[in-house]
Amino acid sequence: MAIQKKICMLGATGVGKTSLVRRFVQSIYSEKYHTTIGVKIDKKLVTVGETEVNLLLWDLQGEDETFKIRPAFLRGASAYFIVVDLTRHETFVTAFSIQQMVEREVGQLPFLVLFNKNDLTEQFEILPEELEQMMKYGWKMFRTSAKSGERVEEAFQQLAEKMLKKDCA
Amino acid sequence: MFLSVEICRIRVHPRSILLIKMPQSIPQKELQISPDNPDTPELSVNGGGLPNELGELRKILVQSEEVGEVLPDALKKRAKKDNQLAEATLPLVEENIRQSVLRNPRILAEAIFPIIGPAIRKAIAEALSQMVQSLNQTLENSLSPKGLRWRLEAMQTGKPFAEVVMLNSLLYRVEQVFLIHKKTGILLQHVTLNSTETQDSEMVSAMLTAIQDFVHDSFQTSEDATLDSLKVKDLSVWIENSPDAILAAVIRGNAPLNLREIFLEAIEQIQFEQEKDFHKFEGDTAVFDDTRPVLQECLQMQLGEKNEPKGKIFKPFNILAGVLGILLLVGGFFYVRDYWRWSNFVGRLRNEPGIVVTEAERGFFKHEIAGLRDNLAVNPVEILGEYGFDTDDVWQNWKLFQDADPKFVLQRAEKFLDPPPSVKISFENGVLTADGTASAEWFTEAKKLALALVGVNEFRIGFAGLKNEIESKKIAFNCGTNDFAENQEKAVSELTSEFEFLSDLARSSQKNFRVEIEGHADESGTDAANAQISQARADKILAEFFAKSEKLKQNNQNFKAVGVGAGGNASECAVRFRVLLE
Repeated sequence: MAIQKKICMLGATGVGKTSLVRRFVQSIYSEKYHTTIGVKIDKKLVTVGETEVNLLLWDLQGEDETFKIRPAFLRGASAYFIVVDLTRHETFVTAFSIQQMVEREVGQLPFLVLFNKNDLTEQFEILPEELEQMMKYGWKMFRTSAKSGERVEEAFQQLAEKMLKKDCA
Repeated sequence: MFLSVEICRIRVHPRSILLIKMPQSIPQKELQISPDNPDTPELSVNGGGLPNELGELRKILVQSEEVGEVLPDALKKRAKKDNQLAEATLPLVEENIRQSVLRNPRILAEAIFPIIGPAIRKAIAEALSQMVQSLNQTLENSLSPKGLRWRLEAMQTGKPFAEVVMLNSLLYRVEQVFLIHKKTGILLQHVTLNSTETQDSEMVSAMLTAIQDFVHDSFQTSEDATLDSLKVKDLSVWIENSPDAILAAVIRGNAPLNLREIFLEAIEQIQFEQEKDFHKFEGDTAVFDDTRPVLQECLQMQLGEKNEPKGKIFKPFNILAGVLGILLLVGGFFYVRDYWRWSNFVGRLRNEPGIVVTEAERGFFKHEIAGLRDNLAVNPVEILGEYGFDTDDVWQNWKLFQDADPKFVLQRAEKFLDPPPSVKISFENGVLTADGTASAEWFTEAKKLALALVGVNEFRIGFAGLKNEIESKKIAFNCGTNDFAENQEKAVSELTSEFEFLSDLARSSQKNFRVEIEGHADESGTDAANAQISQARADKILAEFFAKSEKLKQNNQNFKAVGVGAGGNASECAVRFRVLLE
């Protein structure tokens, strides 16, 4: 029987968290839950080695000026994604504040940063140098595209592996 | 193994006894210090040199300190092994508590207040909540048809109405029970009724936890306050919390509040038994498989009214329905029977001669029939009984009329013409015929009356009867002579009258008649003699008639006397008559 793990999808508003998971997960709830209670639960089964891991994805409403992530929704998470929109620089900034907030609320957890909308090359606002700087922090990152599905499966797999290894870097 | 070190009292006195119980682990040694005991060491109160035994005592005390050091660990290890330690110390603990309460109840009261306070508050709140629920249901059900039925049930069984309402309201089933890890929202176990369709329980479980957090954050409830229930139409989710787990039960229908106690007991038991598993939970839910029986017990179901004891069918509603059913059946039977009887009665009257039904109506309480009736026809009142009706049941209105039915025409003719016994009347095709002998006056009168009768178009006089009457008679003579035999006067006289009647009848009906008077003789004489004597006899009779009746004499052309001798049909000494009508 698969083990169960709680995973959070975090990020600024409109970075494509929901789009990112839509094609890759089982879902029974509509997106209106984001605007009503601030979270939507989806499920994704991955296999790490011989272990089946059932990832329960807490897709949290995007953080912006008017809405802050409810810390209660983070409780009990085993790992998390932070999603950044490559075409909006401010989402990159938000990613840092989110990461700090998570560490403050629930401590260190394995996480991955997903730089989404990798297909809109011409509209990139985040400079390659900034990405390199981030790499120096030791953050693991993926460039994904919800539109093409690029590296999305891989990201889930990676996070599951980090989570089982309790690799918080 | 039970260890104890008990030093009762040590008093150094020349006549005292020092009794020391040694731990079992140490060789038992009992020292009796007494002047009478030859083994008593010499003790000095001025602190002179200690004997060996006291040295030994010191050693024992040192050992008890060592025991004290290992005792907590020893107790812990023993407690892990089995529950004998708990059993052994139980009377001691109970006695300690008793003594403590006797000495100063406040200490214990203060100690347990943090536990007992919320427990009491919760119990009171639940009791009140149950009462309000009961009151709401009572109000809701009081005025409905179902409520009235329950009132009847309450009256019949002698139970308070509120209790009957509660008993009948409990129609629910717990369809699913989720055991959720409180911290992560991960589903640990999920049990369902077989018939229940479920969504992805893992996502539902996480969402439920999210909703709990959402409510908690949104309405800034106190730290230990949690969402108790969700309700959508007849489906509700009841949620019970323990420090590490959430039990969520999905209930369809109207469950009683005391079901919460079952859920509470379940979650408390699970919390108690699996507390360590909750703390070290890493996503492997298999360790919670043992909780399934406890969760299964939460899948309670109550079928309400269907669950009533069998055989209890004599409830007011059933009785009422039964009585109504029987009444309907009986009513139906009487209705059909009445309908059938009435149809037959009316049908009979319609076919009855002398009755014309113009109106027949079947009413609920009284029937009506009206029409025309010949008073010679059957009386409807008299045949009512044959069809099961009383005169009170049927209102009748009959107008009299005369029916031209041959039967009635004849009956009326008999009544009005009043014919003598010698006259027979008949009616056919509008013609009334009177046949037989009566006075000419009667016939005259009868003709007038007959033509006034309904249905009579013509009145005829019948001669057949008269003809037969005359022709059946004879006048006897003494053989060989022309003399009447004895006692013939009466016959002569009757025949005279009959011939008179015949002539009157013929005249009135404008018919001609002839009478042949046939004289006969026996075969004893010669033919000539017989011819002669037979003629003589006929002539004699004719003369006799003419002598007796002037009327016949005037009609003499209609009479003819012939002698036929001894031949013909009759060979006898007599005269016979033949009537011929034209």
